Amino acid sequence: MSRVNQGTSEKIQALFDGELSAEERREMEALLADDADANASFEELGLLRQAIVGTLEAEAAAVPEARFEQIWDEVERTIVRDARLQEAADVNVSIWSRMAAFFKPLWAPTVAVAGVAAAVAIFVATSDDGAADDANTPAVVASKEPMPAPQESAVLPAAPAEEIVAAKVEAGEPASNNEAEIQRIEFGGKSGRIDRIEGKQGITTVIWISDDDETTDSERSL
Amino acid sequence: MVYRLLAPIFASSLMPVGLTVAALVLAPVEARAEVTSAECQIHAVLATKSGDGTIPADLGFLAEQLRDDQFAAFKGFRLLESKSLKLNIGEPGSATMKSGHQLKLSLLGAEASKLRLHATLASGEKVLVDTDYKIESSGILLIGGVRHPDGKIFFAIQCRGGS
Repeated sequence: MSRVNQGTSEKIQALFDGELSAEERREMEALLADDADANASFEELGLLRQAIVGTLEAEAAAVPEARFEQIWDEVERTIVRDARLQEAADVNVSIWSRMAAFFKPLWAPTVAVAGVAAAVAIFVATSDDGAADDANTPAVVASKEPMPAPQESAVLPAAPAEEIVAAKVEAGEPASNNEAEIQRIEFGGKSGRIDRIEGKQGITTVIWISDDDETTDSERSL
Repeated sequence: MVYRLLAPIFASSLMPVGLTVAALVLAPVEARAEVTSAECQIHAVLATKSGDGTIPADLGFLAEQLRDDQFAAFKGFRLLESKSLKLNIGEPGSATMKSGHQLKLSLLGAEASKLRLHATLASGEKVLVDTDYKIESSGILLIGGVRHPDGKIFFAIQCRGGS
């Protein structure tokens, strides 16, 4: 082919590929008949194509039929999947649906934060501010039985002070924490102390007034 | 990736909203818990060093306390008298006991389920103890050790909050 010029070589290639018009094809066929070098180039192209096709056919023959079926199955699945995706993409989704889909991953942290906030608010609203800093208040909460009304024989009939109410006080409901938190105390006598009694009913605070020498010492003497 | 960045920002922005909602929900609860009055019972108990240790039935509500080691020195107990006081905030009450002691009570306020009270125990002109305390509604405060010819007198104060 090297003996054929560039223009002739391109025309031979076009003739081989079937790209020439009828008139050009006739001119090239005449040239191939008269020019041995051009004819040799044309024949080389035929040999080259035959070699390539032969190689591909040999490779195809080496592939078993089952393999082809697998390939076609995969191709079919791919086609079906693409069609389904395209169909889904063509659906006219509303703005709210798209917004819901966009914020869907945010629901979990949102609910979690709202829950924590509510828990904190409940804790703050319901906690007793004296429970933490009160040495008299125990962490353990116990219930107590309601105080029964005293027997009539034990109650004095007359009350001299006008502030005293004659109405009988009903027994209170059980207190969750009976211990008193002493916030301020002043003893008018010699001394005094604050003690506590722990029992099944909870903790009861006792203020002992020492107006003589018979009282015992306490580790919590004031 | 975008969601991972947006999620904490979005969640943080909702924190005030959550707190506000919780506060609005809980506000009525707090309002219902407001205490403006209290009904109090005052019991005078005489503890003596003579007796068989039996606690009478009318002192059953104090049986556990009177059996404590702190009262081990006393062998007999007797309920001298009981009185009731109704307190309102700013309106103190006073009870003069048969023993001659005077107990003044004031309701200072309430916090959550607890009552804030002011108590003054006096014998004649002499103030024996003056204290401010906070206690659960229906909780008992014992003030004791006041000298008596037959032993010691203890005062049990139990107040229940009302509105």
